[in-house]
Amino acid sequence: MIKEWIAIVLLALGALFILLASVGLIRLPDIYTRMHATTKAPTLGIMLMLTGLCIYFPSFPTVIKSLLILIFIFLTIPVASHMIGRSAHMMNTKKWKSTSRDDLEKSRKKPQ
Amino acid sequence: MKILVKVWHIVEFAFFYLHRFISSNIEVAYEILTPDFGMHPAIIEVPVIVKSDHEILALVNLITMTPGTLSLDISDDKEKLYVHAMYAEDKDKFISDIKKLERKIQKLLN
Repeated sequence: MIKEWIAIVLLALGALFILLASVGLIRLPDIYTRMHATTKAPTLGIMLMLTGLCIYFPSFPTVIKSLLILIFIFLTIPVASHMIGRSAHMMNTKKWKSTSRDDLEKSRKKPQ
Repeated sequence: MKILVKVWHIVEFAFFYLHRFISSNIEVAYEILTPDFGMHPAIIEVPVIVKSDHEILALVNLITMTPGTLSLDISDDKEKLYVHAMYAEDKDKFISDIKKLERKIQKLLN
């Protein structure tokens, strides 16, 4: 009984974080801040969901598979988001008006 | 004995990182849900201590997964990392934060 409720709460929290990422994608002002919202919040959501799964089906294969999923996510999401951000910066995408400094732009202007 | 020490380092790092990950995630969630934006984004140049390729890969991945920071580019000589930060009022404090993470990664992979 208690096990079921813990699993329900964790799954709901995970779904909430994934919803939050999509809200952030609509609300935030420029591409970089949107990337912040869409790379991290879903990862936490998936982590919470997998924890709920491991509590509801407490067997050895389930835990191992969940850990493998987590490792795979941690290896792939940052690489993809980094490539999107880098190409956006190379194309001189507009930054939000209160971005205070940009060291990367200075280093691109200087001939190496 | 060596293996035990390594396992302890890994467990310690996992808990340190998990705490940081969850607390800053709640910060970003608060930012999304409240009507006005209180952020000060900036793109900051951070010097890199770690030398080998797999250490740099681990560092860049972990920086990107921490909410509030996103690694954009690395210079050709692998000495400077360019990080987009959401809360960058204090540049020195931000750089020392990343240095702390770097030292932990060095301890873990050597």
